[in-house]
Amino acid sequence: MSGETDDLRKRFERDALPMLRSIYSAALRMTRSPSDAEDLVQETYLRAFRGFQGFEEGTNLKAWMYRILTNTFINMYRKKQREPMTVSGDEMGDWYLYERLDGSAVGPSAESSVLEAIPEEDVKAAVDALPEGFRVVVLLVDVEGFSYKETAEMLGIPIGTVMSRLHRGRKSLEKALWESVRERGVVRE
Amino acid sequence: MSESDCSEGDCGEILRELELFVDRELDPSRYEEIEAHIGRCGPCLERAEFRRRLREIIASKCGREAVPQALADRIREMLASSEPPGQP
Repeated sequence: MSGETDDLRKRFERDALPMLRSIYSAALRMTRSPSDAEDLVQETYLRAFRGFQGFEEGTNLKAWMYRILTNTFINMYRKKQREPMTVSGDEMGDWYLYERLDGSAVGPSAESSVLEAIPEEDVKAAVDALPEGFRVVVLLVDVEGFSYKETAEMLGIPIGTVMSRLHRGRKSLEKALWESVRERGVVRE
Repeated sequence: MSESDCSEGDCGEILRELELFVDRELDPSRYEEIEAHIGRCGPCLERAEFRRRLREIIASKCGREAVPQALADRIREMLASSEPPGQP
């Protein structure tokens, strides 16, 4: 093995392996299946490692890794049939959750602490319930912190589509989170 | 919130842009205008903070799964045994 490729290997291990946890978390939300998520992550790391020579050092490795993750996911798991591009909550106002929390018995400015109290499993279930096109956009922007432009480039869709899916996906999440706080008795109406 | 909660009267416009504001997707001059507005307007500030917290909570409750040890091992093994990058 030449010194140069050994350096690449070391650099990949140093820079890409620490992302494993966030990549696996994203893969789990994308596939909604632990075994599919493991396959997806392994394939992503294999493809990334093989293509690593093409990665320009100093540019955004996280965006590069997530592009491979996203493309691999789409290639491996995209459903054959066309997915409905509707999502629950489309009919709601922009401040659905805020207004309900504000109007409930939690008291002024307590909306955020109600949000904190929502169990992790409910938030994950709400994300998992989103149709794939919405789910992936919400993951990339809200969870991973990519910009609209980065997300659009990763998915090969227009920025306007990212904005629309994000907005509608978030509204659907708000609806599911409201159901969670209500069912768990965190708020009284 | 009613418009009367805010002395400036342009909250409706601000509220429509709060999502973009919290996502830091506005151009810098508009960002600063909204930042200045919410500095003066309690109800708009509260909604901006709500959006921000909602985003943070979704991220913190979805982004931190424990990686199965077997997967971590397999990836390390794969890196150690795969063809070096860039080789045909």
